[in-house]
Amino acid sequence: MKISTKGRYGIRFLIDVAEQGAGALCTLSDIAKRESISEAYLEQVAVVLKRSGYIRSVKGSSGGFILAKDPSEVRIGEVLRNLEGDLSVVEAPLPGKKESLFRQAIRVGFYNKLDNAVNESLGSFTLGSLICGEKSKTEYMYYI
Amino acid sequence: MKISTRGQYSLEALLCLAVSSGHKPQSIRAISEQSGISDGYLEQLFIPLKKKGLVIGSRGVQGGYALAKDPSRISAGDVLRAVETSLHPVPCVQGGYCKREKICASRRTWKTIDSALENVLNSVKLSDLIIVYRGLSGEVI
Repeated sequence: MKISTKGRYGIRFLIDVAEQGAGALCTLSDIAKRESISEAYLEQVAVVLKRSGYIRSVKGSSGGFILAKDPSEVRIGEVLRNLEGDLSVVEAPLPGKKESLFRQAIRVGFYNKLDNAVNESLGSFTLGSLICGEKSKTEYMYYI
Repeated sequence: MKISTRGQYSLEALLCLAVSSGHKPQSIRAISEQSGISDGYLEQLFIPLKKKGLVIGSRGVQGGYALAKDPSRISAGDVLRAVETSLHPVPCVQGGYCKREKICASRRTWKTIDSALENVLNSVKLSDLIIVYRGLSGEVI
């Protein structure tokens, strides 16, 4: 029941870029410094985010990464699925393999409910909704 | 976001005990035959499950394992917590883990997923799974 660092850092990457304002270019080293994540790891995450169409890269000496979509159009559940793969709590049954009735009952009565709960709770979040969160100014200043 | 094999097998083994007639202790062999989980693995799983007071073991010819409580008082979360290291999707949801937690925008997402999961973990009881099991076995026969 874990979301890997790839998923977590990917979301932080997008939040960080979005927080710099619309159209802001961010270099990997800026993001790495602000988020205290290694630049090498962020680079791997950036590859997936770019491939999935969430960020674009701008080349050149003043280049960097830029959001490819408006934050309100970026659904967090979808980003996580792109970074993590399938989010379900157990693997789907192998085709042709008969599962015990116990397992089938637990799948219907429990695993499916967990999956629905995750999907429903993620459904409400977009990148836009996360960056307009309830961040109090004093807390913000303190960490700057 | 996966539940380990340990967790899955523990749920299956307990459901096997829960549906057995008369709440008589079941031998490891009998549980293994019904669930398809190996004897050795079951032996391993029953150690933490016994320690957490979910099953009781008895010795002797008629010995084996039985549920320690009524199935309506054992939640799926109780079973998983006995054998899994953590059920939280990310470590920071419990708080006190990261100095960024007050300003971290992503933590809200994790907290929401975490409480949605917790809710299901605590609300689904072994007795609910017995009902699903009975329904399914009725259809199969």
